[in-house]
Amino acid sequence: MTLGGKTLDDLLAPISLQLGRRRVPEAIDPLPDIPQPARVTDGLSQAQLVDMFVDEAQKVRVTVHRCTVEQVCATIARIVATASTNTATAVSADATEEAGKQEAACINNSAPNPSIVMDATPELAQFGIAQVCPNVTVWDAARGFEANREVARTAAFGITHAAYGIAETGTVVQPISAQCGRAISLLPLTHIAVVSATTIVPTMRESLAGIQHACAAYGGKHAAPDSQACSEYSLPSQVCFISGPSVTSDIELVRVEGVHGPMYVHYVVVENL
Amino acid sequence: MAILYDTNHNLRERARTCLDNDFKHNAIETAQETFYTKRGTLVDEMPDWEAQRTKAAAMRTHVTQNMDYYIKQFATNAQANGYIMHYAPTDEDALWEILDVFEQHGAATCVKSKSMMTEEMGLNAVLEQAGVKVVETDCAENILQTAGDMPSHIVVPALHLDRDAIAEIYRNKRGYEGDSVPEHITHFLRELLRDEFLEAEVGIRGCNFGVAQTGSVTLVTNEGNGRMVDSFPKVQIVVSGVDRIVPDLESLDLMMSLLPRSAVGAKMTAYFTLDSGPRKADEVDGPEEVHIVLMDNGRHKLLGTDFEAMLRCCRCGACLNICPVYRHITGHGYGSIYPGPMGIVLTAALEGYDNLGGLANACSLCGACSQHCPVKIPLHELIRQHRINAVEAGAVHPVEPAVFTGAEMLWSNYAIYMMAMTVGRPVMQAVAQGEDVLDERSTWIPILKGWTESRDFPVISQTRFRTWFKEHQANRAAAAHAGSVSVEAPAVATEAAGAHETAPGVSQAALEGVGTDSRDVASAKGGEQ
Repeated sequence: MTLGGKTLDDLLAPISLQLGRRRVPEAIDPLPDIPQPARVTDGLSQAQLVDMFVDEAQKVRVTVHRCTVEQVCATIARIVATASTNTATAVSADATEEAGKQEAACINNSAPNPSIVMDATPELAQFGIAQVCPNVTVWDAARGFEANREVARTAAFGITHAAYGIAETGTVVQPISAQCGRAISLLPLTHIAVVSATTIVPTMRESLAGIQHACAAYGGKHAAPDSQACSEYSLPSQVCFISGPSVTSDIELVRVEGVHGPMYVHYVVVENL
Repeated sequence: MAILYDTNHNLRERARTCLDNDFKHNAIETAQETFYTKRGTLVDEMPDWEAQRTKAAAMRTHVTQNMDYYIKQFATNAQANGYIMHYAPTDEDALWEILDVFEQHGAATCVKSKSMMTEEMGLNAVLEQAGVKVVETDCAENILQTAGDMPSHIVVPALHLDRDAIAEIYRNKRGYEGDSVPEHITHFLRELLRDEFLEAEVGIRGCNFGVAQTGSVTLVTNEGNGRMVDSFPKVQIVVSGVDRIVPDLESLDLMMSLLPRSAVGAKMTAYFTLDSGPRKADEVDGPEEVHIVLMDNGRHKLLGTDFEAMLRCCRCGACLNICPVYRHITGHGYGSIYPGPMGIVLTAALEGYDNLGGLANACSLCGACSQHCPVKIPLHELIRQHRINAVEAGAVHPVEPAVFTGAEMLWSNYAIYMMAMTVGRPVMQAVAQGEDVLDERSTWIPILKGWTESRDFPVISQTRFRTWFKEHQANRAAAAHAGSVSVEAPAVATEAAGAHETAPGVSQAALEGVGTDSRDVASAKGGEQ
């Protein structure tokens, strides 16, 4: 038998046969209808969900800042200023082990005028961050891959607007789009995610349903220009669920942050957006 | 075939090597306790973990029993998303398809994030032979690749190496100049691998779940290496087993409520990505071209058999983290890329019984794995089924049938049994030299060696259980006759502590159940009398 070049039918035939049928059925029985099991978020008010989101995020070593629309700019400016003048105290305040100090000694953000890369979503643009923080570069698809990647690679901070926050796990949901590239929340040592308190949902399920619904609303085709969620196909090319810094325990189970992605993660929760 | 990587040694030899390495099995022990404790806390926090498991098991069973339908749906929708599909009935087909992609692009470099399917097909060796530079980017996988070593745990594969050994590996092979602090080694890897990510032509990754309804692939990672692989190389190859599919996003959420909790005792991993196609026309990063290689490699043969349930597995490793055998013999004891209870079931089902070297015996049938499995695979029952099948297939040591024939004779004939006990008792006591167990001092006796060189064997008790039980019943009757009301106040716990005489009442039923068996219970319970 020749190798490679096999068709879908070549793959499926032995499977169907083993399942006792000659071909793949056109329709099958629906998924077993079992009620949704209770979740810890059941019956919580939006305010309680926001509190849970904050708690859970802190548990996975995210620094959370709660503020109003008017304070977003100042909050981000403060994060940048604090981190760049004294990384150790700013980011390792809750580190219980010596690890915190060692991390700080190893890599830090203490350049005098740190560069910042920011997504180009209108949601983020409305805060006017670029007017307050010097050295901000906005992601610009027109510049192409190499140039944008270089901006992100050399930036100390990456700022994105998250579509959702997930209360159960302290997760931010980041759809990738022309306005928001993958590198922004990945290459800089610090990631700052801005999330609106109104978009905090109980579990991953609601966020997935929300994204799917938003896409379906545009018939799976081109989305409205102001939407992060979809463009050409039915779902974004990537939806990234981020819960804290990049982390490993591969050496003797010692937790080390900042493996390949950000070492420090801040969520800015905007209360009245 | 690269599922079994150590067929030169049998289970006994591999287990011996691992037992002799204190650091190794202590490291596994610590990992088990860490993951297990954290998992326990989170499971307790879930309002209805059992309902979650039940729903997930039903969903995965439904997918398994309609595997052809869901693969077709997944493939159709993935293609509509812009993925280039490749179908691989065997591992060799998969290798062929992957090599083809490299050839098309004239690519000579790739970065990989952890993928069991690529391990299964032995991809790295094949790519290297074809002149491709392959860089494993998961920290542990990179350590193992640099050291030329094999994984000892499915989730944290380099646990058997200590920090000094790891630092030394990088000093010798990658010019590392730092000390053995894990932070420093890890941050050295960050620097070392970042350029590889940004320059590699091809990214190769696995797929935790494929979503049929949306044609999406997903990746669960903590380090972010999966995201790097998924962001910068222009060409990406996703390698997925045919048994990774879930019907829709709701089912995906269900599995994600179970996987990180079961795997590492976390509510979520640092990163979870849902990819639905290559980068779109207006986007600037992410792969321009993505190939999905769907590989069967023998999985369809499990359908309709006892082992069909194994296709529900989500590779979380919860069964490893609770297994008392894995705890001692570690991943290397199994000689398979799939270790622990799930590893025994899957390896034997995919590889057959000929080269297993007794793998199905690496289990005490305690059943803890089945209880902890998030998709309720009856792992220990399947392991037992493998043993039965192996015997029926004749894949057993020639002495084994003879031993069982002898045992059958001994236990089915009262006279012979009593004679053996009468003779056995003084002989064992003599060998034990006054101790109440046979230990490693008795390894000179050939028939005992296999057991006593690594375990103690209790000496047959002086008192037969039946004798003790008669006395116990007589005492109890006497006490009842004396009109004592306290007979109705049982204390089950004290029975476990060995204080039979103070434990009338409730434990009697249990004792009677055991007592009907013609075994000497005192010796079966470790000679506690």
